[in-house]
Amino acid sequence: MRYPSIDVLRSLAIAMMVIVHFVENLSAWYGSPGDGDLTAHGFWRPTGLAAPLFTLLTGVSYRLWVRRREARGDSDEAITRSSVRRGLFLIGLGFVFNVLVWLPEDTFNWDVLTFIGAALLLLTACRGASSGPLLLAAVAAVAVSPALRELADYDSFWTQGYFDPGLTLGDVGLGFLCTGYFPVFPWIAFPLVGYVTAPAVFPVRGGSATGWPMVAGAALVACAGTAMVARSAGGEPPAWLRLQGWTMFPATVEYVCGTLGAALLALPLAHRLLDRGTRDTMLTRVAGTFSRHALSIYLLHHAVHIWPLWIWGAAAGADVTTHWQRALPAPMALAVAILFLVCAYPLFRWLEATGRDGVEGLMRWLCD
Amino acid sequence: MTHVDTPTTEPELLVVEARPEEVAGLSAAAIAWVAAGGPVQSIALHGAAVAWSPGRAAILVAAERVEAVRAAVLEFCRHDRDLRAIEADVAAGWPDIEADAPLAFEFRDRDMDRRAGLGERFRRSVALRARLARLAPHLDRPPLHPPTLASQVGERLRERGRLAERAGFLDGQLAVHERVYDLCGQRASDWAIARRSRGLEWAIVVLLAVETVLILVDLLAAGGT
Amino acid sequence: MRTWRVAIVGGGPGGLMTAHAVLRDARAPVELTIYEASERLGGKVLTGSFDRLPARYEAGAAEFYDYSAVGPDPLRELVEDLGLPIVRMGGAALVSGDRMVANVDDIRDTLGAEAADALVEFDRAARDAVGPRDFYRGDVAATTMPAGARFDVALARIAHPAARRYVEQLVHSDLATEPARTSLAYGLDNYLMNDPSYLRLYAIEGGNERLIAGLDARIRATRRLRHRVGRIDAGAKGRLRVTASHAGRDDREEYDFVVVALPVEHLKTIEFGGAGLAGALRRHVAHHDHPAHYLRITILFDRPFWRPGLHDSFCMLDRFGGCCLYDESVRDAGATHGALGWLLGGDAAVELGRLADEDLVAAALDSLPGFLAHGRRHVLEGRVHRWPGAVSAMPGGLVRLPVDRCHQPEPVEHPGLFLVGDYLFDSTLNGVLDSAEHVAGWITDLTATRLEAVA
Repeated sequence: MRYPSIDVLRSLAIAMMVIVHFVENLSAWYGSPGDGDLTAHGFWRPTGLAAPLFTLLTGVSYRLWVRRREARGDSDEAITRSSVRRGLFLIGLGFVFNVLVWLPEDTFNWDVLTFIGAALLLLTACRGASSGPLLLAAVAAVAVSPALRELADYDSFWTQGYFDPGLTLGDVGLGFLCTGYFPVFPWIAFPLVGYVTAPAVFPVRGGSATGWPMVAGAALVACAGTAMVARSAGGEPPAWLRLQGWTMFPATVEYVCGTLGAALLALPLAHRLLDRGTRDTMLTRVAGTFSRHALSIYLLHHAVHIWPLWIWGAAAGADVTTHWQRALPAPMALAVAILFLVCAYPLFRWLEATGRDGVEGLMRWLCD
Repeated sequence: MTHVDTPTTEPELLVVEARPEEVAGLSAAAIAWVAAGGPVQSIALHGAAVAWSPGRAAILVAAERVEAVRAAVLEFCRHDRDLRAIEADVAAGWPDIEADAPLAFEFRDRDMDRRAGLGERFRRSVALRARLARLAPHLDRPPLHPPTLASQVGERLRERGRLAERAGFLDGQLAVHERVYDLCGQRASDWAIARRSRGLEWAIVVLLAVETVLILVDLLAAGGT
Repeated sequence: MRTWRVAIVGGGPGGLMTAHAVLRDARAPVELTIYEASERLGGKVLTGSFDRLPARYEAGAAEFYDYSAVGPDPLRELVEDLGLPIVRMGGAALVSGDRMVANVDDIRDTLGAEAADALVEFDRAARDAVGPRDFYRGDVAATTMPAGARFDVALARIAHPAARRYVEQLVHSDLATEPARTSLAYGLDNYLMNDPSYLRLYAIEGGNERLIAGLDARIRATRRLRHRVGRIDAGAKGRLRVTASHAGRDDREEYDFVVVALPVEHLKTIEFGGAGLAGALRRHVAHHDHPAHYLRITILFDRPFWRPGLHDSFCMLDRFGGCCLYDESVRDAGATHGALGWLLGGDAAVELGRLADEDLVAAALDSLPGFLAHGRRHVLEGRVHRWPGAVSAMPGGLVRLPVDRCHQPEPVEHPGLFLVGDYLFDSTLNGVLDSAEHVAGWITDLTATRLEAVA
């Protein structure tokens, strides 16, 4: 069964991602001053929740998917086989995406697709573990990431303001582990926590939900919030906590705590509000469409706004990246993003109505 | 262990003092009265007649034999009622047995939610076995010799009611119940123990993995420089 | 591999059971030959049928004894092995005058409180003397009784005459003899068999003779019906020679083993050659020659007019010194006719056996109690079967001999000659099966032993 809460939250994450990417790639880099400087405003901050929410939901959805297949009587071997294939599919797709949508030198960017693929492989391997060790792994992943970044000299990979690794095995490995856009450390914490949280928020029929995710979420938000408040008051949290401020690249401990906590609060709340009864509203229909085609939307929205940039740059006889982050003013980029979202809904509804499946269908056909 | 009491209501009893030569003429009316309680069985034995159904019993016997025969009939009705109650409870458990039987072979993490239910059904089957064990000695006791009319009536009622055979069938059915839940309990307990030890192993794996990653990153970073 | 030749003299239950057991347990090839003087196999297991209606009745052995509540019951197991369905039998009533005496309460009402107390006292003493396990083992009961004690002595100790008479009538048809002519042990056994905790009774649905047919179907042997064995003596090389007459001609054949499964009365008709063998058989016969007699009268009625007054498989009548009245039609499920069978024993069987069949049928009808006298109107047909000397009045003799000695009368020069019979144990089909199994096991061991010796 589909949970409207998961669809709504995933659609929210997708919408935030589309807006961020359109504005970021067409106008100015998020957080940097630029034309229209919307991004410097506080209202932009919540968009930082998109990736954490999405990756947490990846773990939740995987847990529910495994449960569904087990209830159907599928064997462990079949489930593992499917999971591994899906993980490898996403990693491969991530590489192909980086080459075709971005540039060949961006192959090992370790973006969100390759991360989710790697997370699937890791969750498959850890499926037999109980909640305790998985939570311990999540905590360890977050706690050790500052040390890993220090060892790896994170800043040397980001001198241009974006991830720019050398094409050496060492850089590729370090990018995957701790210096890329979405490295395993600390991002693996999100799907791990999502995997552990799912049974508590979405119990099996006849069971009752437990409240520990909300409690944990509140605690994490409180930690991050306390640090932020202390910083805004001129103080600094103790250095040994290694909170390192609120940044997404790198994903600091403070950022992970705050966004993970917010996601943990949002999930059970959304479940309580949206999952009672089987009302078919416009919200659930739209959210369901976006949620079902998240992968296709991810690929399509990139192609829709990046390829024109490359084509425009190439057509002008200059470097293809000439117009990257300079094409449009931020408000216009925002409007284009919203236009894309508005057009995407009927497009994917049409695809469903005509039996066309998108990239998700290809993945199911290849992997299940 | 909880003991589930069977209802203690006695059957409705009709006792008619009748000479042996009168018994045949009154039997039809007695049977008609008893039929209101359910399917009727009747015996005629040595100048007495007894008809019974699950809810009623009628005795036609000479006055001097009334008390002894009445006691024998009431005893039979009690035992029959107790046996029926066990039969009903055992029958009610078959759907659960069929649903739980796969767990007697293989128990996995997804089945941990069902542990409490398995335990409850195991206790239920033990309770049923205890009820049957307490009842069994009364069902197949050796006949009295030389017999009295009351002992003959009681024996004939037990034979006609097939109490001993029914107890034997229940014994076989309960053996299945016990075997399934015994195995399920073993599998669940083995799994829980394995999972607890697995948890510790996983924790060690996580810590070792973190250490490995730290070393790996250090190596990769050193190799890069 | 050598093939052993075994002859069985007597096609009754003892002979057939021996043949079945030998073939079942044989560890070497066995060639079996069965000699039967009459035109049928089965001996005193005989299920008859009427002409007027397709109704069956037991003309010989009435019921089987079920010991399975106390211990293993080979006969019960054999019946199950042959796939034969059984019908439980039971009956506790004795018709005294025109009154049914079915339990202690009736005894008190009919015979008086003192008689009831005397009966209860006798019953207690009998059960103290022989418990169910002693009863089951048989030989224990016999050896613990005072040697030479007779049953009439025990009956004389019943204080009240009415109670004494009650017990005599109760056991008379089972004893098939008079109390003074049987042992105390045998008399007590026949009293205690009425207690369901000692044994229960059953018959084979469709006729007890189905047991014979079942055994016959499983026996791979040469059957020589209408072959009367007249002589058994030593043959060549340690074998035994059997001489049988058939159609006016004598046939002689030699065998490695000969089993004589005949009642004592028929044993007397065989000549055993050689002083040693003849002497041994003479002694054997003398020890076991205590004939008891049965007489069966069975009458077909157009309906079972006695129900529901008589609703058990049988009851006792105080007529003819005490006889058993069987409801033969309970053996036929769904039968609308009725058949009653009178089983007379002892002196009454001998004396009345001299009468013509029609007179016997009339005497049987006269013996019906007053509340069943109207049954005369429903008579269709009557049959009579006489069994003089068919059973032993004192199985095992007054003093029991060792089991092996009973079954192998002359072990020195004729080790291959064996005897089988219910008279060696308890005059029942259970006893004859025990006897047959004993001999069959012996033969099996001998054939295997000799085979191994040769190898």
